[in-house]
Amino acid sequence: MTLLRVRNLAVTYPTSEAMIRAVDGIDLDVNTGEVVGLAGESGCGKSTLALAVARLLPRGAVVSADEISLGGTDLRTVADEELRSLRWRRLSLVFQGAMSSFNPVMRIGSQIAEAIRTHEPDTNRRDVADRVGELLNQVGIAAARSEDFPHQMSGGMKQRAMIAMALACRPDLVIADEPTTALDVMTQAQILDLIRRLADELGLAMLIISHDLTVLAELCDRVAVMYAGRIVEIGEAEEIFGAAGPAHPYTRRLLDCYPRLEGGQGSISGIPGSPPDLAHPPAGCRFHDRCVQAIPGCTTAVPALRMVPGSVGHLAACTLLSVDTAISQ
Amino acid sequence: MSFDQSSDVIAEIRDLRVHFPVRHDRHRLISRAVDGINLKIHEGEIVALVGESGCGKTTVARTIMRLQDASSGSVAIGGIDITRARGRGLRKLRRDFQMIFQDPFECLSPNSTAIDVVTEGLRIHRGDLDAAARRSEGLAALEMCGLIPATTIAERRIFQLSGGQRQRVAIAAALAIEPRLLVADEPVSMLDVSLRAGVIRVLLDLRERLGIAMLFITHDLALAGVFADRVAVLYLGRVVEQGPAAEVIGSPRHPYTAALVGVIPKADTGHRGPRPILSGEPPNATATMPGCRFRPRCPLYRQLGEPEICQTDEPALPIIATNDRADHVVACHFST
Repeated sequence: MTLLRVRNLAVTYPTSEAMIRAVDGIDLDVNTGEVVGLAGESGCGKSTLALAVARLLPRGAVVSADEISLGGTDLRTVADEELRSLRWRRLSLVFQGAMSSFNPVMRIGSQIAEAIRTHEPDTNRRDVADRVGELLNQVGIAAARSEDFPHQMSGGMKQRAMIAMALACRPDLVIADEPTTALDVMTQAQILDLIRRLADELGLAMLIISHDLTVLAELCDRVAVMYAGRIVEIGEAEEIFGAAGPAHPYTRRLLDCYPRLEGGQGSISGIPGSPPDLAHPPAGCRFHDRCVQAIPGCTTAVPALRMVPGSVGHLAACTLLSVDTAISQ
Repeated sequence: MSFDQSSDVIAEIRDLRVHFPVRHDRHRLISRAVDGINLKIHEGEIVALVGESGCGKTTVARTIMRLQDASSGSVAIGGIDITRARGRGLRKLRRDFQMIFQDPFECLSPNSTAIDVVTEGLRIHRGDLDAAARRSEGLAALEMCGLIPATTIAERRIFQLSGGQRQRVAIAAALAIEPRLLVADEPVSMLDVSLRAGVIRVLLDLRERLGIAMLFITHDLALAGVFADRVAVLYLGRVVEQGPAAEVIGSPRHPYTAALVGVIPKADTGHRGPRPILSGEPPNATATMPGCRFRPRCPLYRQLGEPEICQTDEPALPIIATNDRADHVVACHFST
């Protein structure tokens, strides 16, 4: 069942010199109980998309969409008062750098309790305390640590406490923006395992935003890759990271940027150039000037997302895809 | 004290200890951030120092740079112990060791031009050069770091440059004064993965052309495995495993290294499934205990039925023979 449904979403930041179109016509679904990853380099619009869904964009950002709905509620038009009650109870967020999102002079437990009391004012004191303990246990923190101040916890523990807090009012959808970015490899592995376990046990739907494709490959059911404000590839993680590999040249190159030990120094590769200036995006495919496989048609025609031949629901926006298909047919 | 003067040892760290006094609940404790490290870096060699946060890797870097005093032990660069140097003598020595930092957005003054940044070190260390000579040296350094055309980029202000370009300017500035050792503390971790290779290539190229030795500090084991010649794995202020990079990362022998390598995310859904995740966090460096420091988290220790030797004797890292870089050594009583 589709929980979050986004259709033709665009976000523009007007500046004195130009209109910057950070997100440019995106369709995205997150189904109940599904973990979806959103990948891309800095500035590709992935965080803007998440903030637009949560209605947390700064004043001045212009949002347009044919649809943004969460379980049937139209998030574009919902009144502020209703939006407030919707947050936490149906949609919650875990931000990047959760370490610094806690109030440093308030005990962790009180901060989680505050979220529960604000959104479910009828809950009595005992029940709130029990639930805080339960939530902390769920993320592998002893209930007694609810008396700790944030500085008494390590980075990974604070990140886990932040996830516990996001779950406080049993939301349907959790959006996590770079949930493991500032963490060590071992702590990252602990958090990834935790997220996967919570999604499976609680049937939680999650949208995970990360610049790190390898993290998403470990964690997600489906992955969408963004480039310069658009989704260039979307599909089951098993297909994109499986034997066939990605269908879009950008995803392929991005994946090649992760060094492989077998390959030695020769396997250190990057993508030449830099992502386009979104105030003046290039015509045609936005990746064409960095793409080694570009053909003349790439500079003019804007490729639409097309089904990758022989796949199930794996789409990529690349002109070559239709050329290849034409040849193979 | 005599240091290894043989042919090509650029830097020699000998039994280095850096201890910090800390207060905790009215107790005075000592945090042993670096607790007895030995390491040699040869000319043109890239040595990676890896480990979790708090293992002491950045403290080692800061001590080599003399941004932090050593409690005991020594760091010799070109045969001269820099931990004892002071004042004018130290300033002269600084030309031999330079550092690049993690965050290219914070370590450069945003309003300076690229050429200002690069020539600043030359003004201090190369009194023999006039302004025109400094400029041409600076331009050459920018060019060598892939900032082309250098004459155009030289006049750009730092805030006008991208993260990857800024990090190249920082490298050019360090390189302009021709150091013998470059210390790089997570130089690419703030950059997008697509831009990392460009910066790494610049570093490899500098090593190739100028024979600069590098101490590369990172938590990215996969990168350390392909970029460095040798890797030293740090746990609670001690080196627990050291050897050729591809060997240490490819077939780790210490249970700690094996655990770190085991959790590197792989872009391949075929690897999904339970992984050996170490529970807990690295314990506090203030806690001292007899025996092996890694014991409380060690899967091998539990698997072997908690052998007594792990509780009583701290495993030592075998001393590496003077110039044999191919040695792969490990500080564990039971590793194979």
